[in-house]
Amino acid sequence: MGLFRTDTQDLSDERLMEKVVRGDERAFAALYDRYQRKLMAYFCRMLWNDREKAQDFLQDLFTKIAQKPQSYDPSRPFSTWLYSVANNMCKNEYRSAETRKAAVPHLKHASNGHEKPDHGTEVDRERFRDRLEEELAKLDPDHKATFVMRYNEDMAIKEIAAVFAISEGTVKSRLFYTVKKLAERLNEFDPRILSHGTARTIRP
Amino acid sequence: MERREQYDPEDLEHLLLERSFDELLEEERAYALRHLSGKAEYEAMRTLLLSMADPGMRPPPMDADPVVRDRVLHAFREQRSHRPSFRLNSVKAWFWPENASAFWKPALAFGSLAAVVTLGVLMMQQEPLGPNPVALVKEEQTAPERSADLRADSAVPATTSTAATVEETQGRNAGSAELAELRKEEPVVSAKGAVASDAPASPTAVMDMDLAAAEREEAEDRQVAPTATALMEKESSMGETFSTTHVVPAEELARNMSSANVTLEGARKSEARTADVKFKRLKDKTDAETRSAEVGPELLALLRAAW
Repeated sequence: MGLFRTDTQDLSDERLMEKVVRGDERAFAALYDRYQRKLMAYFCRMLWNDREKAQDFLQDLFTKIAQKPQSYDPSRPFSTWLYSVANNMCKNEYRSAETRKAAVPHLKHASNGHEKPDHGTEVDRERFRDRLEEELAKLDPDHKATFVMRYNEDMAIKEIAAVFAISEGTVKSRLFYTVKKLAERLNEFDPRILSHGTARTIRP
Repeated sequence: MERREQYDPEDLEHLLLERSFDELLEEERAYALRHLSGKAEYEAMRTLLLSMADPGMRPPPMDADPVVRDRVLHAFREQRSHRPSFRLNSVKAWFWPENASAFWKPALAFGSLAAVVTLGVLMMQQEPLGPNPVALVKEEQTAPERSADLRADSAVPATTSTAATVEETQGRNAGSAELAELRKEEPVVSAKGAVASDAPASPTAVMDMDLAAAEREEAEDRQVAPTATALMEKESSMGETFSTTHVVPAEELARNMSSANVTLEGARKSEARTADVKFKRLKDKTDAETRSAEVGPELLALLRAAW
């Protein structure tokens, strides 16, 4: 039996998805393990740092894949397709949140519940993160998703363009104006306290 | 060694991540200032991008609860249990492949080949492989009529009774083995009683020989065609309706010949003519029986009563 078994870790996402379409549970589990952390971070960032909500969305997303694996378009990269589905789910949630906000104006989204550090630079960093989340929440959903995909998920411009089905120039333009707007709104923070650590390499 | 860096002038992001405003080259600074208001904005944007790139500024990686994994796997198993079997999927994939556009060329080739083979088989089936059985049956039906006609034709000039016509008639009937044997055994007798063979004999002796030969021939005919004899007997037994002809025995024939002064050949021709007439009548009768059997037993009974 083992002779004919292939290690799912060595297979590409697209190959795994082909197996999922044919009903391979191991391939489905491998895809979940490969993407659950990334998608948790994405949903957390996109959904007001709400961990429980991010977990629910992750479950919904993979349940959709389990129920309708044929909806995957094999001509597209799996990660691109997966993030486009996740992005659409977030947009629907934004619409629902708008409706809820209109019904209950004083409703505020819960924070992630982490304890905030009470000393020095960490306080400033924590404050910066919270402010960034606030400003991101005010952005247009597409601009926000583009920003998160680019600077949180480290996706290439080409991949983001494929997720939104737009040109790479449009992605660059969106990113430029989003960064410009956020920088204007977050200019009260001292750049020196934010520039610690080693900067990651951002893919072209 | 001087390091030369290439920047995509369309991409400000690289500049922001790579250099501060003071470190920019003249042309890079000019390019940045075409899109930004000044150094402050450039530095604010650079700070934001660097903070996003800083791992310390990122939220800690978080895994979903194992419960989520169990739930989605359970959903997958449940969905798979509702699916049709793998075999059915394979059949569907065989008849309707997902990338059907890639199969049109082989499909066209195989379709053309199948069409050519089908056409070839059809054309081979239409060609006659042997004699048509229907034509054979018709030929068999018309053959006795033709031979009877031939015999009738040969019988017509019997009144002339020349040796040439006798030979010609015998030549037409050469297919009959009995006649050929007879021709070998019997000397040809002319109408005037001349003997063509070398054997010397008197006319009465020749007549006796002819009579004996005629009897032998009649006996052989009875043996060869018992069905015809049986049919004739049946015909005679059916009554007077079909007994319009009379079978002439050899003695009566000899008597007639002696009285009419005709040769044995003439007698034989008249006998053949009689047999032909009988055969035609028998054929007509069997045809009528077939037709009447087709029409119905009532009509057959009516016809018999009428006869």
